[in-house]
Amino acid sequence: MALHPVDTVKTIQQLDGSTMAGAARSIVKKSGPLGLYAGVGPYVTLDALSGCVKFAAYEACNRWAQANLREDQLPAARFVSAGIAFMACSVVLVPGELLKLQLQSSVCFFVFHVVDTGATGARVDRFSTWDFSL
Amino acid sequence: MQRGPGLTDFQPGISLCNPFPRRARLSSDAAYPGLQVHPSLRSAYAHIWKTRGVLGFYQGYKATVVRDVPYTMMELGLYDLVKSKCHNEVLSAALVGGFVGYVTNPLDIVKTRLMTSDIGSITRVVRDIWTKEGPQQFMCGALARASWLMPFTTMYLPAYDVTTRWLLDRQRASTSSAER
Repeated sequence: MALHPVDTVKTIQQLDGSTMAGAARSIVKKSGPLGLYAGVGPYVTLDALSGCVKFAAYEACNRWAQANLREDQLPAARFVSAGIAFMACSVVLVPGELLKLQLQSSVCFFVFHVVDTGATGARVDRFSTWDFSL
Repeated sequence: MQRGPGLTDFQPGISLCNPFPRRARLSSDAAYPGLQVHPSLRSAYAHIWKTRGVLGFYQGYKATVVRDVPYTMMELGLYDLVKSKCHNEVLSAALVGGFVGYVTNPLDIVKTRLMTSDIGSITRVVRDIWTKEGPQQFMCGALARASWLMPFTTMYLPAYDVTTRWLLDRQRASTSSAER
């Protein structure tokens, strides 16, 4: 959790080629300090879940291998287990990463105009990412 | 007035009456075309679901595999190697986490770009970065990536070791008590 802001800075750097300080400044300027925590929700939930799935699948595969394979086949079976474990966890890992990255990128690149169509007819340009819904 | 780099227009069809465009697109003079960004989890989820269905959530799957397989192999392989030399789990994990995070940044940047755009092809992303931005761009964000992966790995790898040892001890204890 404490490290998530650095991950957000990394994502912005990878998209626009800025420096670490430059990316951090532009996030805070455009979305406020909370912008550094964009995407933390899907990341924490789906990444933790994917970790559980990965280790559970890895242990289950290793147990099956120990019960069904010869002793000399076990080292190779570990790699296969790790592969199966990765495939199993990727089912939740990839959507989590995707949502996280799209939310992180929005803190710098999502720019929109709110047009006041009220009685005054005044046009208001706002650039924000927070007070927003579909 | 603040402006995002190169963001000049919205998706066609979103009129000024709609103050909440679902998706912004970078124009052609910007970092790269077709950037997909979403302001909230709900809008990201709804957009992906409506436009591409379940498979939309697996955009960038191949890039994730291409990044994570070498990453995990290097991480676990180097951790065992360094640990056998310096006999300190925490120090080994810190060294390995920082190093592996740094050198796998080119794979990570490709995944980041694929997951935030509609480009959809690993080779095209690599070619675009190489020709339009130069090879040094592949290391952009590497320091930030290493500096969060280093503390993360420092906690996670020794914790994994401790848990494995605890489980093995428990297993040994239960088999020896069963023998008795």
